[in-house]
This record gives sequence, structure tokens and C-alpha cells, in this order.
Amino acid sequence: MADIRQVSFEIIHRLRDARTCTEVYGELRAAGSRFGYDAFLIGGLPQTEAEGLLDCAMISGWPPGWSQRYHARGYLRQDPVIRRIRVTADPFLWADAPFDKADERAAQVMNEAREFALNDGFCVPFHDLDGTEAGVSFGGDRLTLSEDEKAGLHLVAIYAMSKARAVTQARSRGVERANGHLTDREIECLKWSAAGKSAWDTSQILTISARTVEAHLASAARKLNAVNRVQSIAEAMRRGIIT
Amino acid sequence: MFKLFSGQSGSGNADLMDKVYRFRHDFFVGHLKWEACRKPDGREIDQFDTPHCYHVVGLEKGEVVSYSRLLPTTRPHLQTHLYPEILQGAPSPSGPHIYEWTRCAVAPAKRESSRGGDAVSGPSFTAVAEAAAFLGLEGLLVQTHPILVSRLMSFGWDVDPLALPCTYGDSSILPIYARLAPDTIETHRQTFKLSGPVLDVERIRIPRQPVIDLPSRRSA
Repeated sequence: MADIRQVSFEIIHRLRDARTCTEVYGELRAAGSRFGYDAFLIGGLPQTEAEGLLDCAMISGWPPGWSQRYHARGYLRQDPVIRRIRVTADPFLWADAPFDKADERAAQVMNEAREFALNDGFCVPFHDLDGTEAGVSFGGDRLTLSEDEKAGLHLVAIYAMSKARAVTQARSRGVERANGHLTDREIECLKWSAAGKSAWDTSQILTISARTVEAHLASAARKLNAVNRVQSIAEAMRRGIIT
Repeated sequence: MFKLFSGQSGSGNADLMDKVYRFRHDFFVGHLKWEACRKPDGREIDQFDTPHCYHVVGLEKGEVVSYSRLLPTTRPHLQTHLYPEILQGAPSPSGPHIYEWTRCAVAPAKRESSRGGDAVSGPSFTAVAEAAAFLGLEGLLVQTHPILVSRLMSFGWDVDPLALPCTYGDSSILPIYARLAPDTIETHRQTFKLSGPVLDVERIRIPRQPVIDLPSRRSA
């Protein structure tokens, strides 16, 4: 048996070099054959009632059918594994995520997971200084981990989460920088302006007042650091916000 | 306000050091129940509190609200002399530019308000990063709960694991080497929405050690 510490450190070394979500996904997929898991998920816990799995997942290696059902049925709010993340700082087996046998909805999540060959699992919780929670969960048909393997997988989860956060934040920052926080309405007004329409023309097309169109264009100019409408359009085209 | 001073300069500031040791006793013995550290006079001092260590102290209206201690790895420190077993036989970096971060504490009363991040914790972490940079360090050895390791990573430290997480006492512990990256301090400031330095290094004097080491990157 290869040394777990060595194996884990090698996986971590590659995770630290990962530059994209796809690369993190690839490393975790490959690590599954070493630790014996078939599926994994990196995600935050919902901060509002409205959020479902697909809003919270950062990198998903769950069976797609399970993700969709889990999201559609709002299982984030009845999954005993999710509840356990909120009350512990230490990794745990899914089997050790307690739920009341009378709690049919919790039992339903665990039972339905089996339909997707997710019988056993191991979950690593994260709690941030600002009170937000997150987790990395590994699941499989038959997942049996030694204490050393749990420790190794724990460390892998820490680096996978760190990298997932870094690449998703970099991606959202990149998008923000590129479109300069322009609103949909501002972009729409810029598009019509680029098409040669006056503020009055645009107001007729969008059925809003000409003053409102002027306000949208002025706001867009500010955000694009442009001094007039011509420069706004040039800058928006250069950044690819309009084409 | 956060202050950095050496164990040596602390000896000339008995009142403040008295507050520091009492704060440590209140936190580690009173709050965390580290009975092994209990002292009859209520001042938590150990064999590592030498003139060679550094203290990073958060003060509010003259009272200690946060604390961290930095120990030189060229001398006995916790990883080598208290619980070497947590390294599980792995080597640990040491050298004149590597210190060990120990006794990290924030007054519980200052943390109670917090589900949205309190006013002391973030700046106290930032103060340690600023202290490490001010002292010209490459990085810090840390052994702490894995949850806190994740936080250090999100604050911008470049973290090398030294071993797998293990159980120490009744808690999980992970030994790491946290390296200062070019943007570590900036990441702290962005994370905690700080406009500038938090560490007050203008009014203190750090006794400079003669520089005798060559600029080797790392002495293992």
C-alpha cells in the first residue's frame, strides 16, 4: 500500500497548481480511484431559503441526475449531512450524520442517494470567520476509509476548497471587471446608441422615458470612465460588452 | 491598536507584560481549559517566553484584547520541544527567517457579537502578517485546527502542510508552514476591509539581530 501521506501530498501539490475549476474537478476525479469514492461535491451552504444545490455547488462531481433531483426537491434543507456541517468543525461519515428515524424527509434524501450508488460518504465541513459554512463531500457505492485515509482525504478537501474558492472568485472578479458592473438596461441603451439611435428613439423602443435613457447612458459612461457617448460605445465594444 | 515588541523589550515594560500574561491565563486556562498551563499567580508564562520571542498584542483602551506569540525556530519551540509527534516523523522547516506562531487568542467578549465577523479577530490576524513582514520573515510555522488552516489560506497565506491532520488531546490539529506571499497582507486588508496597516511599529523599537545568515531561501 502506498504511503497515504505521500499520495495526499502529491494530490495537494497538483491542486495548488490548478488554474481552473476543470483542473480541480480533474484532480478530484483522479483521486477518487485512490481513496475509493465515485462522486464528490464542493459547495457552500445556502444563506437564504431560496438557494438550492445548483446555486450553492462550486464544483460538482455528483451524478447529474442526482444533482438535478436534489436541487428540484430542495433537499439542501432536509439533508442530514448538510445539517451536520452546521454543527461540527470535524470531518464525519455520512453514516454518522444523525437524523430522527421519524424524520421521513431526512431518511428520504439518504435513501434516494442510494439510487445513484451513493451509499457511503465522507464530509469535510468548513466554517469561515464571517459565519458562512461550506463543505466537501465524497460519496460512493462502497466507501471504506482507514483513519489515515480519512486524514489524507481531509487534507485534500482543504486544498480543493481553497482552490475552488480562489478560481471561482477570480472568475467572478474577471466578469465584473470586463462588464464594469453595467446593468442590463444600461447595456441595452448602449447597444441602441451604437446602432445610431438617439435617446428619444431608444425611449420609444424600450418604452421608457427619454430622460431615463439619458440617465442610463450617463451612468454607463461613468462606469466605463468615458467622457461622452462615443467613447462609452468604443469602450464597451473594446471590452466586448456590446458587439 | 496592535503592538509588536520583543521579549527583550517586554522586560522593560512590566505593566504591559503583566496584562499580557494575565490575558493569556484568562484565555488559555480560563476559557480553553488548558489545565497544564494553570499558574498559581494567574500569569500564563512558559519556558518559551524568552527575550528572543516576539509578542503581537491587540490593545483597546489600555486593555489586552488579542494576542499572538512568535518564537524563533532557531531555538526550542513547540513543534520541536513540546509535541514533535504531531509531525509524525516529517521534517519541519526552521531558520532565522522562520518563526512559530503560538498562543493565538482573541478576547471571547470581543467575539461574541460575531456572526458577521467581529472588529478584533480580522485585524488581529492582519497584525500577525504585518509583524512577520516587518521582521523580514519568510513564513510562520503553525499548528492549529484544520478549520483555521482553511481560514489562513483564504487570508492569503501560502500554506504547506507538514503532516496529515491528527488528534491532539481531544482536538484535531494540523501542522503547517504558512509562507508570506507578495499579496498576503493586501489579501488580509481586502478580506477585513482595512484601509491601511494595523500594526503600530512606529513607536516601538525592535532590537535588530546582527545579520549573519546568507540569503538562502530555506533551511530545512
